[in-house]
Amino acid sequence: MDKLRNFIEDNRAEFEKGHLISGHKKRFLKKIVKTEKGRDVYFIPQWAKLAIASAVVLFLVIPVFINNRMSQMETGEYYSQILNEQSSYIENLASELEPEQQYGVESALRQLRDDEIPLSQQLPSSMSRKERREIIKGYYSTKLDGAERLKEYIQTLVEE
Amino acid sequence: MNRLFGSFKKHLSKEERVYDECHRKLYYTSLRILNNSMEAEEVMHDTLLKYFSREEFETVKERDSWLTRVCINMSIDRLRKRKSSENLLNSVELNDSLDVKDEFEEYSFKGVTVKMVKDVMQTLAEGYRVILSLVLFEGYDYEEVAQIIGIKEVSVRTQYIRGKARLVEEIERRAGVK
Repeated sequence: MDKLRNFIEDNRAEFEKGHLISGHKKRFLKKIVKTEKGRDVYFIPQWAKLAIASAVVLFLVIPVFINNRMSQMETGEYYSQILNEQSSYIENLASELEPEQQYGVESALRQLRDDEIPLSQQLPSSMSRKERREIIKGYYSTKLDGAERLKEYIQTLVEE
Repeated sequence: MNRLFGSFKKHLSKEERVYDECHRKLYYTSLRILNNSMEAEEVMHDTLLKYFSREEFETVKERDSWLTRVCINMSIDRLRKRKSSENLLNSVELNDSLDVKDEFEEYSFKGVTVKMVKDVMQTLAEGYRVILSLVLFEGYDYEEVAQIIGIKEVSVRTQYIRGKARLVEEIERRAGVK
């Protein structure tokens, strides 16, 4: 039996009685605030880093993509590509028709597709980008409607 | 309104609540090892900051045990850095023996006050003070103390008995002077 041990155990509370250096709690709370501020800066989870990086990439890429698409719309390149795809499909469909009929289809497609002077070059440069897009859209909408009607007509011929 | 602000304050001060519960115990644990109140306060703060940066424990007992161990390790690390010439942590392995007998095991401590023990503890050499603190106040056995300090178990026993003898002799001397 160690009596010193018992003495300390019996008087434990008194051994830990007394004043600490004044302001100890205030100093601790200051350290806590400082540590939390540091944590905000340095401890960013991995998933958050990836999310931020993705957002930055999208933020940079989307305007480039939109600007590119807008330019294609202003020059008519965007609609012309759609029209060319539609024409190829129609030509393929017309290959089953009689040669005379095929000639008629090709002629109609040429009229739809080929412009001696592209419309975009005929528009005045003082025109705003928005107005330019609206006019070109209207012009090619008519052509695409025509191509669609031609396609439907050929399909009925093929089915006969 | 008071209740609203009361609950808001309570919610904000989780750290304060833990601090209020644990700071005194940690402070005195560190103070007994370091014998320096400023350093003991720093260790107490660092221990609690380390605790708040980790996940919660399931029980208060687990939390308290972790806090005490971290506090002791931090205090001993500081002690090692001091490199004082009287740092017995570096030389306690000298002259240790299994033959050392605890002559004061049955010492009665009649008339001895807490203040006397506290005062004398502060005058002991570092090695004795640390080992007496860990065994008597923190309740570790010789094997655990040996692991914490990084010395042989037999050395811990020897230094504990010698330290205790110094403590009692000094208490008797002071009582005699009075």
